[in-house]
This record gives sequence, C-alpha cells and structure tokens, in this order.
Amino acid sequence: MPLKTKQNLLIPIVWFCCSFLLNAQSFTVNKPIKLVLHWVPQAQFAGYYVALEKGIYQKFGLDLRIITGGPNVSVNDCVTSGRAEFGTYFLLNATKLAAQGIPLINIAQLSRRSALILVAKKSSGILKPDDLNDRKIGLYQEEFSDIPLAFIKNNSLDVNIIPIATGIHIFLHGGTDVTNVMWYNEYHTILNCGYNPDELTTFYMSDYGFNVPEDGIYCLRSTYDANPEVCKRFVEATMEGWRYAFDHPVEALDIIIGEMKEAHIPANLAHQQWMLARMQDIILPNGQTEFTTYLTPDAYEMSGKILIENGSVKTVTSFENFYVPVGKYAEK
Amino acid sequence: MLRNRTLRFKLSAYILTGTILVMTVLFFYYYSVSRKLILESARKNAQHLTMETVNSIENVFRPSAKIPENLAFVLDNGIFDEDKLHCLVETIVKKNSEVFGSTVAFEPGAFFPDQQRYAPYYFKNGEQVVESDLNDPAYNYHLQDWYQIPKELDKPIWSEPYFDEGGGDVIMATYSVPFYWPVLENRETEFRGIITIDISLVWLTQVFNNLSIYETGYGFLLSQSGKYLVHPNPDDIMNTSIFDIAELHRDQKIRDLGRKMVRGETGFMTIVDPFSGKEVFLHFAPFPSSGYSMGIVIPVDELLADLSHLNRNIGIIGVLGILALFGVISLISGRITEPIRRLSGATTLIGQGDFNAALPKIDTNDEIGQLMHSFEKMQIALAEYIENLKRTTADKEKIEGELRIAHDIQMSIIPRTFPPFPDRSDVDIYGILESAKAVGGDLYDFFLLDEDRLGAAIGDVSGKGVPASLFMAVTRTLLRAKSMNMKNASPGKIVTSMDIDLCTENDASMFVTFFYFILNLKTGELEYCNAGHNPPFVLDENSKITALDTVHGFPLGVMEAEPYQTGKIMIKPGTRIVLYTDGVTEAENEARELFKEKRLLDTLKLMKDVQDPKEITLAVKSAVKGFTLEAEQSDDLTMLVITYLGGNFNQE
Repeated sequence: MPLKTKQNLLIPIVWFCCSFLLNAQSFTVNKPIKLVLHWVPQAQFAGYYVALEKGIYQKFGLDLRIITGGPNVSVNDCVTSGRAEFGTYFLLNATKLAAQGIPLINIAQLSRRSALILVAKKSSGILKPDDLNDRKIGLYQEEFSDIPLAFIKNNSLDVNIIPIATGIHIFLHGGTDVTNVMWYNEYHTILNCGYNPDELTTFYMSDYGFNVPEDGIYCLRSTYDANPEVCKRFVEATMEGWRYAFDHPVEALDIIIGEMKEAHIPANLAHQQWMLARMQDIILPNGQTEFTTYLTPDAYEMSGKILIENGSVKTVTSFENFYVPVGKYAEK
Repeated sequence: MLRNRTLRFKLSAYILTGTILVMTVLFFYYYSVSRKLILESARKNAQHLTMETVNSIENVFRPSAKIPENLAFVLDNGIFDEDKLHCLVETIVKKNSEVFGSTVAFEPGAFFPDQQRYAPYYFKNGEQVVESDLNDPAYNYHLQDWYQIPKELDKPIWSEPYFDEGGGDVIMATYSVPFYWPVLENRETEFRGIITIDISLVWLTQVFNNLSIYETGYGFLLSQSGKYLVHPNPDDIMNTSIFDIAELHRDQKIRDLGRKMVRGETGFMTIVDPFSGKEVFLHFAPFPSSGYSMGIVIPVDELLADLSHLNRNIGIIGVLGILALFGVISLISGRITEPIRRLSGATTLIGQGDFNAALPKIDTNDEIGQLMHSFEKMQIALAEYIENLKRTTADKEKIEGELRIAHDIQMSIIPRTFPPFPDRSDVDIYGILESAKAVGGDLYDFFLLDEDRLGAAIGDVSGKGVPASLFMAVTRTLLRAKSMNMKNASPGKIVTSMDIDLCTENDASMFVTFFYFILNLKTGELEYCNAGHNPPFVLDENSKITALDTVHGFPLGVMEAEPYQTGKIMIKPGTRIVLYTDGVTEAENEARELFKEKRLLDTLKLMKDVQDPKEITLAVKSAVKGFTLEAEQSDDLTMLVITYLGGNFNQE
C-alpha cells in the first residue's frame, strides 16, 4: 500500500514537471483556487483538509483555499457566482440543480454508496418497512428527504411526516418514531446517546433500491473547459488527501479537530473517529483498496428518476452533459 | 529440608511460620471487613451527597417549572389580548431572577389568524429586559426542538442544555410547556402553542464545585442524552457524551453506566475513571424533573487512604513483632540448646577417648538436667569399664606373651631345620606344625637311632592349649628317652613303654594318638606302630598310594592295655611316607564342611611323582588353606613327609 502511494505521488510530480516545461503558458500555478464544502468542518471532508494541511495540493501545483460550509453558506451560490471554482454536492442535489439549468458538472464521484438510513427504536415495535404505517417519520430538509419519501412511496406506506430542522432529540424523546439519519453522522450520535445497535431498526436506503451515492466534486462546465488540467490535479490531489487520511487516521483526526476548533464547532473526537471510518466504508466500500471517482450512469439515472417521480423536475440533463471523467481515478 | 538444621533454626522456623500464618489470616480478615465497612459507609455518604445535591438542584428546577406551567394554565383559558400577553411574558422575565428569557410561541394562525408565526420573546440584556420576535422564517421556530418535542409529546419538557450565544455564551436550558385551545363544544382541547422559560445553568457548575469529595473526588452532570454538563474536564462540557468517552476508551462498563444514567436509574458502581485512570466508586441518581443525571466520583485509593495508612503501620508493627519474636525464640532456644551443644562437645571428647572430659554444669532439674545426670553416670560407668578393660587387656596380653613363649618352646622341641640331614642322600624329610592356638597338642619328631635307622613319629594330644602342649612335650620327651634307651626295641615296644608312663598319674585324663615308625635306610624295612592315629599314606616308587591302615591299639594314656604290636613293610627307594594329624582331614571351611581324606588323597595323587617332601607338604597345606579360606583354623595342622631315597637310589 505505501508503495502504491509513492507511485501515485511520483506520477503527478513527473507529469507536472514535464507538462510545466511543455505547456507552461496554459495555466498559472500561483493563481489561488477555491473549494466550498457543503457543511461545517468534519471528518466527512477529511480528504480535503488533510490534502491542504499536508501540502498535497501545493505539491500538485495548486494554491487551494477552502471555504467552510454550514447552515449559512450556499455551495451553489458560491459556485455559480464564481466565488469558488469547486464545490461539494450530494448527487441528488446536483442532479436537481443541473436539471434546473445550472451548468454544473460532476468531475469526481467520491461516495460510492448511499449513507442514508431510516432508523427506529425496536422498542416502538418497528422491525420491517410495513411497521412504519401510521407512524411519525421525522424528515430533514429536501436533499435528505427525497429518497426517504421515494422509499415511503415505493413501499406504499401511509405515514405521518414531521419535518424537522436538525437533531435527533425529538426522535430520542419519542416525538417521532422514525427519523432519517446519515450513517456516518447522526446514526452515531444516536448510538452515543446510549442506544445499542441491537436496540435499533435500521433501513439502509441502499438496501431498498435507492443506492444513490452522495458526496461528489462539482464545478461549472466553463471552469472545466478553461482549465481541465487544474481540475484533474485538484481531483487527484484530493484523492491523495483521502489516501493519506485513511492511512493515518490519528493524524487526520487531529487535523479535523483543529479545523473544527478554529471554526468554533464542538469537536467530538469519538464522533469524528466514527465518521472517518464510515467515510472509508463509503469511499472504499467492501474493503476496496483502489479509489474510483467514476460516476456510474446507473446512479445518475436513479437520482434523476427519484427527482422526476417526486415532481421536483420534469427531466434531467444527459449523463454526458452532467459527468466528465477527470483524472486517473475516473476509469470505469 | 530442615533435617540438617539446628534446633534453634527449626524452632524459629516452625513458630514464626505459624505466627505469620495466623497474623496473615487475621490481617486479611480485618482488611476485608474494614474495606467492606468503609465502602459501605462511602456508598451511604455518596448516596446521601447525591440525594442532597439532587434535592438542592431540584429546588431550583421545580419552582422555575411552575412559572410557565402557571402561565399555560392562564393561557388555556384563553388570552387574545396582545398587550396583556406581552405584559405577562415581560413580567415573568423581570420578576424571576433565574429566568433569562421567556416566550409564548403560537401555532400558525393561532394568535393572529393571518400570521404564520407569532412568538413574543423577552430576555435579559444586562439589567434591561428587552423584547425580540422569533418570527424569522430562516429560524422557523416550529421546527425547533423546544417547540416540536413538547408539541409531539404533548407534555412539558426540559430541553437538552445548549450554549446561548446571545446570552453571553452560557449554558442554558429551556423548559417548554404546551398550552391548548379550549374547544367548548366537546370539552376537548386543541394544541395552541408553547410557553418557554430559559434558565442559565451556570449555577449548576457552582453547586458541583462546592461539593467536597475527598482530595480529588468530583461530581458530574449528564444531560438526557448523556452529554457532560458539569465535569472537571472543561473540553468535555457540552461537547462530549459519556458514551463518546466509553468509545474512546473502549470501556463497556462506562457505556453501561451511561445507559443506566440516561435511563434515570439510581445506583452504585466501581469503574476505572477514564480521566484519572484510577479505580473509582461512583454513585449516580437522576433529576426527576429535567431527566438529567448526576454522579459522585470517589477515588478508591483516597477512600481507602486511612486504611492503607493503617495497613502500613500494622505491616511495620507486624514485621517488628516477628523480628522481636525471632529474637526471643533465638534466645530461649539458645538457652535450651546451649547445654546440649556443650554436652555434645563433651561427648565428642569422650567418644575420642577423653573419659575425664568435663561435662557442662547444669543447675536445673528439667529434662536437660536429667539428661546431664544420666550422662554423668554413664561417663563414670564408662570410665570404670574402660579401666577394667585395660586391666583385663593387660592380663590377657601377659598371658598371651607367656603363651607365645610356650609356643616358641614347643616349637623348639620339635626339629624344624630342613633338610635335617643335609649330608645324607638316602632320606629327605619335611614337616610343618601350625597350631590353631598359640600352643598346640600336635607333635612330630624324627631322629637317627643309629647310622642306618631313622625313627619318626607323629601325634595328636587330646584337647588344645597349654595342657595339650605340656602333654605333647612329655610325650615327645618319653619318645626320645625310650628310643635312646631301647635302641633295638621295635616301635611296638617303645610305644607300649610310653603308654605305661603316660598312663601313670594321668590325672588330667589326657591322651595322645601316636604313630611311630623305624625305617632301616639300608634295607628299606619299615616297622611301625599306630596308637589310634590317622593311618599315614605311602606313595611308593611307582606312585601307588596306599594307607598304612593297621591300628595297633588305643591312643596313649587312655589305659594300660595289651602291649602294642609292630607292623612291618618293605619300601623301595622313591617311596614317600606322608604322616598327618586330623588337623588336615578335619579342617573346616566356613560352611562347616570337612576337608576329608578324599581331598588329601586327591592332592597326593597330583603329587605322586614328586620326591621333594617339602613340595608335597606345602601342596597339601595350600590345598587345605584353599579349602578353608577365611574360616578360622579349628585344629593344629601337622604333617611330616619322609622321602626314602635309599642307598641304591642315591648311587644312581
């Protein structure tokens, strides 16, 4: 594994040196580029922070700045306005935006599987999807709720939907019977409010035909057309960052916790540790060791289908218009 | 292992081992009982302290909770006047020092039918109470926990504590109480909104800081979800839950503790405190109103510090006591064993022969004293015995010396120079006489009667020792005397004459078997007389062996009987005459078997061609010795061998 990493490092360096000599006028090394993340600093974005902190972007000739996301930051505004060249989106969200006419393209699909779970307490008698009939389901905002709603529809469930803004306390108090959570995030919070996994019923959306992966890297098509090389380097450097984070979890968590403290966000090591481990399960599922950033047409098609069926959009843009394979990890 | 140790060592080892054993058992019993008592008392103290704290905190939570509850009661009966509502909320914040802020938040259209959100909020801003409106679409209070949870649960609830950025970054908690429309038609009610009060929880930290729990013991407070609200480690407050700590430390026990606490259980546990790494006792109990839970942590080592101190002192006293005991045992056992050791030294001297060695003086009359007296008596008896023995030995040595002289005399009266007639070539003689005792009763003799005649005899006196030797001397003297006086008499006549003399005044009733012959060296004529003696063997010139088995009468000295006859044979040169006593044939080995004539004959057969009388004699002797081996010689061993070489033989 370390050997491979070295190779992975070596190739871009050699390539970089050659292309710099041959093609020096095609881009400027020192021009800063910006990435906007779709949430506050946490292990979900470990790869970016680690690549930045460990100088991997710099090594790839990139001067990257990260714009911290959060409740008051709209990734899409940043990207469309040009405040950031790159942004991270959920596939479903990006599909919707692209369908609405924003010239957004996916240049790397990091997440390989859906992390969305509907979770219920076994003590409430919910053991299978049918048990959800007549129950209160707490659902977060749109980008999290599209798939659970499709699941409900698909299973012909008659449920009482409670929109919720944030948190799992209403679920813990019994204000809702079921809630949608992310495997790498709120699911762990529930466990660490004292519920054991065997006391919970989990419906992984990926197990019910809704395996729509989430995190991906996006930019405007114009950005890509202007500087495909920068895009390629950015994607490859990011994946190097993830490689380093997975190989050095303690160091990676240190970096993340540092970022969180800087952003005045409560930094919970146990929670970030869980999140980093789950991100590895999501980016490298089934014990895979090689990264792939390829977006499968199936995933995109499913994403579009969900949006069309729930009436969010009438039609989606073509796969070719939506996805551009960038960098060496983008092979099928 | 102890076998070769001194008595002092053994005594010390046994007594000290026993004492240490008893002390150890006592110590552990005392320790476990004390520990149990201390823990039990600590448990009670912790329980007491926990309950006291719970009560004092509840005494703040409960009255605070009454405020919105009372307002809800008022609102349930319907208030639709905006000013009145504002006044009520403002008064609540103004009049209650613990209340930081308060609101009455309505369901969509519940206050003003056309208004989606209506929630007048009053809060303290420094000394002032100011108004704010929560009607912000981005905030959307209908989706906030403080609104949504009591609404869904249909009951009042204390929120999870939170940092209030507006209120100066202090920990706050909100108490939310739902209120309802009166629906008069069917006497039911309909949810209308939520009344809240926000109270700061800073004072909670103060309450916990004021708890005095040993040196480093502390109290902590968990929210409903297990988050630390009060804890000595500031990084964990409002950030980490007890389950996070359990996960980071991979400690299932802490997770179990957390589960019990968030479920509102009360209990007592022993865990390893992840913050100090020490074993701690922990008592926990819930706050019934808020669902928070608190724990009191007591480090075990501090709890047991007094006991440990006591243990150390007891340990030191114990070690000193054991050393003192060792000293006393050493002293006592030394006192007891000292005379024994001195006695042992004295007896060693006695054993080495110093019978006058001084025995240690013992004044006591205990076992040791008695032993010493016994030894004294023994020493005296031994000295006497040895004195006697010395005397007896001296006497015996004297007798033995005399016997040696007697033996020498006895030996001197029989011819022992061989060859006896070195200048004669017609005869050769060799004889041995080995007494079983210093002096014996056997005899042999030979002498030339004249130029041509050789006289030779062998005899065996009954009994042994000095009497036998004297009788033997008499016999030999008589033989010489008679032979010289009656030069031409036949052996029979001489033997008869000797018998008469020996029988006279033979008070000791001794007798002697006797064989006497006269050999005419010129003619080879051999006349002989056997008075009860073992028949001699004749090895003739052809190596044929015959026994001269004619016996002419009783041994000499038994009785005066018929005159003894004389036998006569002719022998040729080369003939050997072997005379012997029963010391040869009746020699005994260790199995008490006899040598017997057969073995003698077998030996002689081996020597049938040997002329040298010495060689024949020694061959028989060595055969006898080879048979008896180590067995004690029971009788005199006497042999006389005469080899007749004759004139002709000599000439050849």
